[in-house]
Amino acid sequence: MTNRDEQIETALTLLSSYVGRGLVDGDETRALVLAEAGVSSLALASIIVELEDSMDREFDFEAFAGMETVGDLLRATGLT
Amino acid sequence: MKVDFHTHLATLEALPEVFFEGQRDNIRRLMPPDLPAKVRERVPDRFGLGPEDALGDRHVAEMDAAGIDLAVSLIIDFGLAFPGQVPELTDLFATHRALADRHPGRFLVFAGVDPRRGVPGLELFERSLVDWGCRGLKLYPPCGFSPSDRRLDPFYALCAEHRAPVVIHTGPTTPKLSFAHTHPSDVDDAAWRFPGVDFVLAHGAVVHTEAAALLAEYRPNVYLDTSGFQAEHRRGRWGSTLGRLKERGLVRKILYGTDWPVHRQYGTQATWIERLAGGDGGPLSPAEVRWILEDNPREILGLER
Repeated sequence: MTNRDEQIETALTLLSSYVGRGLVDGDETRALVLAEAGVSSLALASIIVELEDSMDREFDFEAFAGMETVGDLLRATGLT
Repeated sequence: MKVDFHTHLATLEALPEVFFEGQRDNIRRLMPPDLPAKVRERVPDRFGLGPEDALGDRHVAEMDAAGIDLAVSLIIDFGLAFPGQVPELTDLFATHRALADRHPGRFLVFAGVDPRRGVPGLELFERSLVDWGCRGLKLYPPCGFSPSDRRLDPFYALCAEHRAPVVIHTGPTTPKLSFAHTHPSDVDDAAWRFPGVDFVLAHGAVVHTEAAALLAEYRPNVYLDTSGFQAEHRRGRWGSTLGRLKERGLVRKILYGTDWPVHRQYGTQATWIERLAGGDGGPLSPAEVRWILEDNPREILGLER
């Protein structure tokens, strides 16, 4: 398995662990504070920081704005 | 011609790091305790300017995608508030002139000068109007002065002479600066004494809204801009805020402003221009949206139809 495949697998595993939790946080305080930092939810913030650790790089949060699909996630991380 | 009346150059010279540091402190203190430690530690650090855009190319690309023809680029004079952390003011003027030169017809620059700079500051402002093509004045009272400070009178006299509008920050800002002098009522004395100058309350459509609306309703030369409406939209309040302004008959006193690049992490220019009207079933008719985007700024700026 290539490094890229492993990273995609990590991304998909992370994403699947948050499926159903929503990309927009239901908790207003939490959502607003996260939004101030440019992320739409706890789920998305967690995915991004986990991916940063696993890929050893830092992402621009703007790239994740409006993310709705697995394809969006992979595009934002540069994996496709 | 659609106009964004409130933008800044996306560089750390124009919007210094210290400006964002204060806001990160705020986010950190507001973080709910049940967030994972990793998220609590790292997410606030990510609030900031984002990628720099010194030449304005990215900004123009976003304007194009949103159908915005012209943007007012506001210079803020942070020099006395953040000494040693921003470039010389004349250098900042030069980078804004370069922006306007690089994108002909797309930017109008408003000069920013702290009135405590005295005569040299006034001379710089006059030169910017006469020689460099600046079209207005931007004031940032959180730096430590009132917009009705008498030291601004000669600046306002120049604005009257050159038909140059004044954009004045209102409401809170980075906690690194004082919030004194940021209430709309701080502008009243100046607006009363200089009826021939148009005063735009920056963020007036979204902060201290009641006081800002009162001033705009009763002073012919006071306007409100929408910059910061992105936060109101996130909170689900923008439609109702806009509705209250419309009920007071103020749609002709509202100017579209985005505060670019400050809110860009929440969406593109195209996103925000779509949301200006307050969404489906929002309070504004297409004609009223046109007033805000086109007619109101055209009249204040003295632009051709």
